[in-house]
Amino acid sequence: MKTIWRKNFDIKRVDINLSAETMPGFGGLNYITVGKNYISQAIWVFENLDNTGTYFPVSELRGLIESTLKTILTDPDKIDKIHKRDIALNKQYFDYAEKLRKFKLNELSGPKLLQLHKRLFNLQYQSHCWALPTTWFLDSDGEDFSKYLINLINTRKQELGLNVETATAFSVLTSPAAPSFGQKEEEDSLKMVDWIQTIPKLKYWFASHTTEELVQLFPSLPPKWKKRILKHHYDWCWTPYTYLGPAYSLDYYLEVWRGLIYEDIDAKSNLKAQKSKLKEIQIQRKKLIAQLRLSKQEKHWFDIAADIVWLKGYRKDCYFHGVYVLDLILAEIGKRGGLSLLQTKYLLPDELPKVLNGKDFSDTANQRIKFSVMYGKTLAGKNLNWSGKGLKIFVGNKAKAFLKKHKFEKIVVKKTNELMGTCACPGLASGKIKVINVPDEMEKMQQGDIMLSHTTFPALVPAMKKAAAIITEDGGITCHAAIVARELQTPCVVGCRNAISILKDGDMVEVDANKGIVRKINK
Amino acid sequence: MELTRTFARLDKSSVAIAGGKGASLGEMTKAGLAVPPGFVVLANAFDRFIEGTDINVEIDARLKNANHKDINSVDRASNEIRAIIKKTKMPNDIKEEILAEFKKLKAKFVAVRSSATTEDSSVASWAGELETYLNVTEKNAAEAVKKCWSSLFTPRAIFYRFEKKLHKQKVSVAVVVQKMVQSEISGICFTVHPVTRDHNQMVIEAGFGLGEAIVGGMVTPDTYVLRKEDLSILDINVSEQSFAIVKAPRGIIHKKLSAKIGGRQKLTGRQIVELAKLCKKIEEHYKHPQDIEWALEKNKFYITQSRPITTL
Repeated sequence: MKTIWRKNFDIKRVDINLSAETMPGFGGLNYITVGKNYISQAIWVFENLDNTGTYFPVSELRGLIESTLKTILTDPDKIDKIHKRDIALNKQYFDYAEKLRKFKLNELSGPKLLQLHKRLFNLQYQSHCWALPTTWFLDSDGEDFSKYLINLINTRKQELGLNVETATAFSVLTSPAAPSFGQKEEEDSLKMVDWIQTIPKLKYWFASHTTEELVQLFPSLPPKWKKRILKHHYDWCWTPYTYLGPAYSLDYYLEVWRGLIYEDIDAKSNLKAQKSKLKEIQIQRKKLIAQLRLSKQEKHWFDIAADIVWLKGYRKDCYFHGVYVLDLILAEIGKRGGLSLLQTKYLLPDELPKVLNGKDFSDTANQRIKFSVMYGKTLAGKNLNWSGKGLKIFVGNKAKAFLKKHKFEKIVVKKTNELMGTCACPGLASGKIKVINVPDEMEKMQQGDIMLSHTTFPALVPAMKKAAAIITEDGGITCHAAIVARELQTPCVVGCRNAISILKDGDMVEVDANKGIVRKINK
Repeated sequence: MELTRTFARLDKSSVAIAGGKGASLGEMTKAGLAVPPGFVVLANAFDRFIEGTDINVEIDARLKNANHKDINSVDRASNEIRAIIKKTKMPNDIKEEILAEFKKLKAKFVAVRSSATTEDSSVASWAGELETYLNVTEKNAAEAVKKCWSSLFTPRAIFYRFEKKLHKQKVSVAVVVQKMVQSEISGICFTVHPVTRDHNQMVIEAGFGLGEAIVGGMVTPDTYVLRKEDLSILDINVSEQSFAIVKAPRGIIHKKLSAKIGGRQKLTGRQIVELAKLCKKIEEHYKHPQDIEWALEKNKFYITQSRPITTL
């Protein structure tokens, strides 16, 4: 029987280099969680800097997800161990990348550059893929785990005759206790504002100039102040980097602080509020566990769900930080081989030594950027080191022919006024739809609009903060949008399939996040 | 009387005799840049031509009759003056000197371009309005020079003359005769980003064939953006070129390009960096951002023109 392929995800603005990284992990590192190589092959399609689809054989994908869920339910201790190891790997990855930032890459020899690249890429591969079954696959195909837990809450509610809202309970029970990177960055930024506010001269400097003037005058600030501001930029500029960048410029921070200083916000109490919010949720969580009379094992499952929520964010942040640094190396290799960074990012790691040996890859890269299909077979057994073995890339007509030869599930779009998704953060809201997929589109976002994105990522957070509700097409209850929405306490519906093809900018909608419903209404 | 001068004997102070284009090519040659060799038929020669043959009186009379608010009168004056120039023979001494200089170039083909001798930079842009003749042979060189002279009297040029109130002044024209570069690839370089005006970036545009297709905006070129400081390539945007202007046995033709060939990246990364280095040097020489025309023939880059960017 012919293999049927299912679309598992797509990513806007991404490259082949990073996609290729996950391949051996789909097999070899998934083995660590489920003891078997469920996924034997994968297909990626790239078009104009987007990954328009990543596909797996349906049976293999379902097999992996069901087996992962079973492992959580029957052997949660094993999952804890895997998560702990993944955190350690991510920390190692982050620290190594941080160390690399201090290198003067332009002074290094070619072989040395390649060596640094290999080490960083391997750490990226391991930390990204170690816990992939739980941190990605588990909720990627219909939210298997989340649904299981929601069911559990509903059943218990009925048994005990409790009057708690399921969506709220689920959200609280899966909220991690530790702050995310994003929260830490915000905390650090608030500390900066607090510091600026204690120096009258500096406060006046920020409040009395336009952003453009601040950028121009910055070099003439006293070294002590400059140093502290530059340090914050150095520490956090990578946060919006995602897969293709860019990082925040110094201008961005000067503008943010200028705004906060101008509004004269109370940084100290903001900081306090943030900390107490986290504590507050943990108190609520304890209460709910008692109310629902969760057994030790059931509580363990919810703990794992909260760990996944946190780990997803942490893993991604370490990843974006790592990609920011990896791109510094790739840019240097590209510079020596006459390639732009983007072109370098559309090569496989095994091709990089050839770039330094003088082979011209510009047309290869350009064709891949335009349209290409990558096919990969996973290697059997545990693969702790990345290998490009089994990966093939097709371009142009060959890519089209390859897709024709394979059978893909069809996705049917029905025109309707009511869309269903999953509640990621409860609440009700109504307002105008603003479709925002890339940072450039954030300008149109007004306070109180309903933000609709294919998927969200750190660079879109400023728009998310303005939204009365957030809707995404992609992602489960533990995706980036869900995590941020819960931090912001903004109603959020995720996994709202086809929303972008049905809703347009300016459409009035009602969002009932509790039920996961988005309804188009007449103006 | 001096009628011609090789590029090597001209520099930026020669605008009055060699025109803006001629002076700039001289300056670049002196700076040691890879400029295809050539010479300038000085403005003197044009003056000699109209004065020696006494057609200057006729020309002035026709210009006086033209009224720039009446397009028909401008057209009429243009037609009449150009007909006069066409039928008037070039004095022998001028013709002989042009041919002698041509021989020294040891080139089968040359490009012949007019070069307006005005110091007013806003008017200098009209030089772009004047004509260019490609793949000119020794046999028709003198004729091409004459055509360039008469391009001073196209309706457009006459109109500019009135607009800028130059019609009472003496306006002359020099002609640049330059060894033809049969460029496989050619294009433009702005040493400052022309859109964002970022002084830390430069932009190169490149297309297959002779530069006219790109300069004239007939094809969409590739665009490469570089960081000036370390010449790293920030962005490469490849476009599909549908045709190229190339030399034919007689003159030039538009050659169709297949999607496969036209869609290729025109310059390799290493060539992009080599060219950028060259253009950075030109900018440093002039101490001002430049708008540069370049050509690549047999793997060697030539600079065919460089002008200051005046719109920054």
